[in-house]
Amino acid sequence: MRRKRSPLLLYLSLSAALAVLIVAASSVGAADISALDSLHILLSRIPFIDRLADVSRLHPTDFTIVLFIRLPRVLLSGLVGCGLALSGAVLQGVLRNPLADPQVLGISSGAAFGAAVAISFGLSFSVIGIGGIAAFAFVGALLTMLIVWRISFQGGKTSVVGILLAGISVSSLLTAAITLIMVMRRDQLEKVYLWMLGSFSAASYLKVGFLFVIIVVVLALIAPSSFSLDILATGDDSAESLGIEAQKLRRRMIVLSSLAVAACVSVSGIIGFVGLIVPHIIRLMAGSRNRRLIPLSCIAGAIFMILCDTLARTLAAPTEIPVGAITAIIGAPFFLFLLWKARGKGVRL
Amino acid sequence: MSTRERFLDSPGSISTEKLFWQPDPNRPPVLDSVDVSLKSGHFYGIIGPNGSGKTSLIRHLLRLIRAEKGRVTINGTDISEFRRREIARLISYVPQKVETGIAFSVGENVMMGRNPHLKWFGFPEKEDRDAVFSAMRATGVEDLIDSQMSILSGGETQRVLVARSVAQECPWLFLDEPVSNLDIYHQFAVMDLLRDLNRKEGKTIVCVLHDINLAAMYCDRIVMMNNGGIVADGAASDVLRPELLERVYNVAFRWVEPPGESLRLFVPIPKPDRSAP
Repeated sequence: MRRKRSPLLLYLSLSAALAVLIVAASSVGAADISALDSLHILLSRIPFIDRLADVSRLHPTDFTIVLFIRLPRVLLSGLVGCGLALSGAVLQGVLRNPLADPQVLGISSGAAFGAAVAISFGLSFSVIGIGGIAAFAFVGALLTMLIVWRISFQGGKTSVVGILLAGISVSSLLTAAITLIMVMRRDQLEKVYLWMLGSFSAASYLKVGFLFVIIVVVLALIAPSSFSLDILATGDDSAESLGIEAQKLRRRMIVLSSLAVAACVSVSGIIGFVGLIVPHIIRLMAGSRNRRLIPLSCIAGAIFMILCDTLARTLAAPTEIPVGAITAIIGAPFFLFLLWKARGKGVRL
Repeated sequence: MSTRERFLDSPGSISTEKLFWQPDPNRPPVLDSVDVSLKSGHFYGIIGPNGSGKTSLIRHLLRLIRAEKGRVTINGTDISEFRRREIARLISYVPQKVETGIAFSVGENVMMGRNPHLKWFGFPEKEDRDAVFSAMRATGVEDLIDSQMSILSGGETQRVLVARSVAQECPWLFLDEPVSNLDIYHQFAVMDLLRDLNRKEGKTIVCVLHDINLAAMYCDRIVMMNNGGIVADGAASDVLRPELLERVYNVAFRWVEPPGESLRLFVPIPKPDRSAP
């Protein structure tokens, strides 16, 4: 039933939706620029189409707002959504656990801990445009990854449950440490808390470039293993008897997806639910084969995140709602609905 | 000789030397100094009571467990010198179960059997699809092609796993209780298929079985295990004797010959009912 439906239509419609959404999201915002004018500004930067755009009567600040404030923010949110959905899809497969998501390995908590340290010690320096908070968050995420790695890969074979338990334990420990930091530095409590809820308000093209490079590299290294990942999901014995080095493959995939998560979280804060639900929605639409699941999750993750961030900055403009709250408000009920629909049908998520 | 040349030279034997495995130091070893040599061309049955080490032996022969003491050799070469993909082109494996937490369809699952033959990025070609379809027809699961693995019955799952193993097109097939969940019709169907693969295509079958009569009907060689060791290893007619079975299983056996059939069946005799008045 799922095989017969061609995925081409899904690819095309999702890609088209993403393209439209990028333009549309860059055209709305708190500043008083009409959507049509924003569209003209964007078109004026695309070769060949620029002749269609009439920007003669627009003020230079309008250009700045659309091209250097909104567009990088839209692109950054899209990349974060893509990265989180990608690692969610991969981790659910290699950990053979439909509940796995980018937070389960403790990487997000590591990033939050790094950010909390940076914020509470006032380390808001900026090296070549990457702020101290983002840098500390990235380092915190990578260090956490190494710790979880060391604990769960001691010696030869490790059970999937061992990895999950190590991730959850490290995550709880770091959350407790963050709480301590927040209590000791009450003056910075709000800042730490808001960072943890996630936001794209500090988007820049430098962050976009940094994340783009990491996600492209990670994706390029994961994609060729798509079929092997399918096989790994049938069990280690089964996969090894089919010629796959199960342990090696799992480690490589965990490192790569952790890297993507670390990069995402360090530029955006902790944004839940995207990595958990986007892959499941794609599974319901296109089946579990990673060759489809991974690219479709990337596109759908970008769409979902751009949508949520656009709502976050426009719903209560000029006040900004933390995007992590929006993803959970939309994501949780939608996920519950899917679970309720799939219940008793023999369809496993 | 390079690994590749050694590999192309299709193996005549897979053997163990003094294979010993004790995963839990507080319990007796699962495999205790096992010496066995499987030769190509035969239909092997591995029998023995629960916990006698049958599955552990097979998992060592596939290097799903690395031998810690003793060794496993393919044509005299230590199995650790082969790459996993090379072993997977040599031996296919039907495990007792696979994980179905992440839902795949039957067709997708059988296609996984082609993995060791796939080239760049694992895209299937025509010969791969042909092998998958013919394996599914041979095992009678072609109608299930789009069904999810997670909704199959135990028997259907076993047949899909046999199909996957057939699609793998290896000279050796290892099967761990491939018929334990099957009805009588499908037990014979799967065993007939294995016999055809053995007789017509010259494949070597190594099959863990609980049904002694199935073993007697289909296997020409029997390896009998008990308490982690080999009790008997030889021609089926030599190994399958009531007194030996009685010693290993601790159950009395008799032979019966159904009139009009050239068959000899083993019948286990229950202990007398002591609660009867």
